[in-house]
Amino acid sequence: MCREIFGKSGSEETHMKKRRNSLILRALLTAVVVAAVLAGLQRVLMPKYTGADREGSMIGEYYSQEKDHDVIFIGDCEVYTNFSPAVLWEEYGINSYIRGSAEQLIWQSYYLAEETFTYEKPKVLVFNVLSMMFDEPQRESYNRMTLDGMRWSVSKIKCIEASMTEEENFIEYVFPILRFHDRWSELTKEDFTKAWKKDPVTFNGYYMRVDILPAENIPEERKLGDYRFGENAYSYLDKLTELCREEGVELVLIKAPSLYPPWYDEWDQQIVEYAEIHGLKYYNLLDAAEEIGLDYSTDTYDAGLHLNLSGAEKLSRYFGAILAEDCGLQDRRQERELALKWEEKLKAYREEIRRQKTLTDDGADR
Amino acid sequence: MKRRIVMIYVGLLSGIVLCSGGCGTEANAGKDRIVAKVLADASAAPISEEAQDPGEGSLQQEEEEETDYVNGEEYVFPVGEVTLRTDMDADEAVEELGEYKSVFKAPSCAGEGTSYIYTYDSFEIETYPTEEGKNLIGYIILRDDTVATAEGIDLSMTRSDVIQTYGSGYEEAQNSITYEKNGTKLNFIFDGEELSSIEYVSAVIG
Repeated sequence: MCREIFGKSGSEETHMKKRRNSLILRALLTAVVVAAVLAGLQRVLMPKYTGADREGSMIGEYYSQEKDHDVIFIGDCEVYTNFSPAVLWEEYGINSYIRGSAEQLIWQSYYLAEETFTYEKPKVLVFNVLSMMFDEPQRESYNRMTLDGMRWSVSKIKCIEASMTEEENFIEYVFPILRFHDRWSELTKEDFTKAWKKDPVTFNGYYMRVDILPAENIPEERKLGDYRFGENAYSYLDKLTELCREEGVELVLIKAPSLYPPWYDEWDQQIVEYAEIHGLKYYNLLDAAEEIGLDYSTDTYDAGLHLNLSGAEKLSRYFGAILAEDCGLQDRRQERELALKWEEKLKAYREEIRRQKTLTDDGADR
Repeated sequence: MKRRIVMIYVGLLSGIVLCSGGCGTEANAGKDRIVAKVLADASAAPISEEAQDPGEGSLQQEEEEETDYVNGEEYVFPVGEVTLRTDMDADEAVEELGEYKSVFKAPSCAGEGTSYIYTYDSFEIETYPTEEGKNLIGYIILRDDTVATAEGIDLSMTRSDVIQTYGSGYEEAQNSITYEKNGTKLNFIFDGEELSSIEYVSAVIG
């Protein structure tokens, strides 16, 4: 009672202070442990993108690479299935990487390019122009396959903002557990074993398929009410052109030789004009299919949407000559350290060809 | 104190688990909407609207109804004995329609099913997948003048025929006009004054 009236003794004050510090420490520790548990849960609950949706793993694989590429490809499935960096190296000594992802929209390509240039300055950036057909955000499932793999940076934040559909929330990209918590009931063993580490699904960004499904019954083109590319798409093409100019990287536009979805003459004309106005190289590789030697009865794995290994290697041989001759890229096969790295990559590439061919011969899926 | 910390952990984890269960329905509903929009074709430019009930427009139900195409609540495409509308079950429709000329498959790069394009003599049906594994009709495209809309417009007609029949309540793009009725869209594309394409478009995907 006296203490309450006349104040606390010195030792009690010290005791209170210690107790307060201890409480703060425990609260902090609790917060750290809870954050760690949530982070672990998030890892487990997020899609692993190693099955039929493995395209979602592609963007993240870039970060573990040596950043010394001569060429970076950006764009949608028409880049990651149609070009083989292994062939570009073997035949031209060009060190390349494909930063492709499923239905990569042009604003995503732009921010991926911006992010890539913070790691390295390639001599050439190759952009597949099919995505000019989209002028606004499309689908969350595809957004996720590009955005979830990106490392946090200002580019990623801007990329999320540019890509989100009305149903999406920025916070769900910051804390994917908020989006994927309902996956708990469909978790498999893989969600735990691949939560922290998973095998790469590409070879320098190239998604290999050796199986064949001949192109037939390609649908007649749907007529469009308006063939003009949208303002938003054009604004990002302008930004990409400007970014490359500022960074001293040559921007090369291509249209990959996929038969579907259709590439309209009206679209092609707009890209031809854009390239002329801005002094860019543009290669319509669809028109060059015969010259490339593509045979759509053997060189595609899904009836003309994407090339298989045989088609991708033919196209890469053809395009490698363009990169070497028109863009002046040097043969780097004499660089010992780089050559050794590629030797390892080529070994894995050939092993995968053997593995897939065995599966195909056995009639199994890839 | 230790007990309190343990209680906090247990409380938090229980919260997460409960939320996982409790929020699942809502979250799944959101995901359904997303998947329903996936890939009618790789070239589609979807609009974000909620998917209709796939069972709503079944052929069986259609047969039971007295058909009033012109004054109906939706734009429908009558072909023979079958009435097609967007967002109806495509597998049932294909079965009812009988033999098609060809089919083209376009699998989703996001691993979320396949869209199919069925080509018939005078028209084409394009489907889109739902998360429940159903295929719904995304587009119906009239390819020649042997078939017509329920209101009697075919590809031999002109812009003024269309406007005379459907009225002035349309949305206009560079070479096309679009009419919308209860979530179904009817798109007329012109080459000058002549009609060059007629499309029924699902409001879910495009």
